[in-house]
Amino acid sequence: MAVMEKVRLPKPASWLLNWSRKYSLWMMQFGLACCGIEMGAAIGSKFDIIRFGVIPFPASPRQSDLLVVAGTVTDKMAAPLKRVYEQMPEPKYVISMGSCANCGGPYWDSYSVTKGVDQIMPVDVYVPGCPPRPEALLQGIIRLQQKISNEDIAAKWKGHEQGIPIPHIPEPGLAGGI
Amino acid sequence: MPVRVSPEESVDRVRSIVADLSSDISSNFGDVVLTVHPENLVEVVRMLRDHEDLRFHFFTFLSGVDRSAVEKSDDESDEVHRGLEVLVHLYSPEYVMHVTIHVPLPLEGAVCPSITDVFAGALWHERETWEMFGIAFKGHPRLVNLYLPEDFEGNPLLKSFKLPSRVIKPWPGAKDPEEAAGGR
Repeated sequence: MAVMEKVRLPKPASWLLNWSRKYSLWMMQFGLACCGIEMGAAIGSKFDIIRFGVIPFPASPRQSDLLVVAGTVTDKMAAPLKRVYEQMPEPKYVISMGSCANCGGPYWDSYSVTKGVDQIMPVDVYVPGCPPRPEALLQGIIRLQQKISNEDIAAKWKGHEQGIPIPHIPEPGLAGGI
Repeated sequence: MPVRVSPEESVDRVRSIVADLSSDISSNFGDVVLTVHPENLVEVVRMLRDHEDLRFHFFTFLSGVDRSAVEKSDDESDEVHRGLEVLVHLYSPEYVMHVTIHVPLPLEGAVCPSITDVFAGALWHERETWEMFGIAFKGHPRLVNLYLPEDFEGNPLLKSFKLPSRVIKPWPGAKDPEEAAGGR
């Protein structure tokens, strides 16, 4: 990717690459608690995360683009989680799913729970809920795809952290409306 | 076929067999409850397991209790144990009996004999009790932390263990049912 690091791509090429990246997210699952069950439901046939271009069950973190941390991260589990994250190749994204992974959630005063996965790795999208429903995870995936589509991939592939704001997406109303 | 033994008879059976080694044997909601000095624990557990009339073959659970904050109730005249305590739960599938063994221990430097020679399934339970209460199990082959990280300091289930988050921000809700809104 040496060319991409040096040259600023013309916009159509950048758009095409981002478009193809965002619909081919290999998803590393890190289910740690009840959120993992909701994540499993999102992968299953009823919610079918694959229709958004997210491919679950990668062979290893070295082949994945997206890490979904679903559930309570304990201090003992933080080290293996960091190891999984570090094995993933750039560009990589992290979704923090559920209150526990976001901030400790109901274990805010615990002696053994890490108060938020963002203390050990950068997080792209937070999905709130306890646990979030599968639809909420799908909404998080859509947010991440919006973020990827606006990225400067040269900077991202160099591994630079840069604050690309997540565009405001109007919340969809209930299907059919009330 | 399991033969169900009535609560009264199960207490009598346990009492007739371990009377010399236990200071207090009673019945609590159909379960046999006995208090055993730490020195006699292994022998008592072995007798409960092997005796023909008891056959407590199933090791259910082993855990600890920190009784240092137990309040003395008004109608209780005798002395209340305020140290640590190890609880051993056994089950007899043959006679459908439960037994709970209380092992009173001091608050500081508690040492309890390991029952892993009798029930190998107690290995993990004793490791958990060790890390959570600091109760050392003499004779345990590998007494290291089970759930906590290796470098964890303190014993989190002791009443004296302070949660830093709670020091900064007290528990927001009610601690007792009486304090709760609505007085339920």
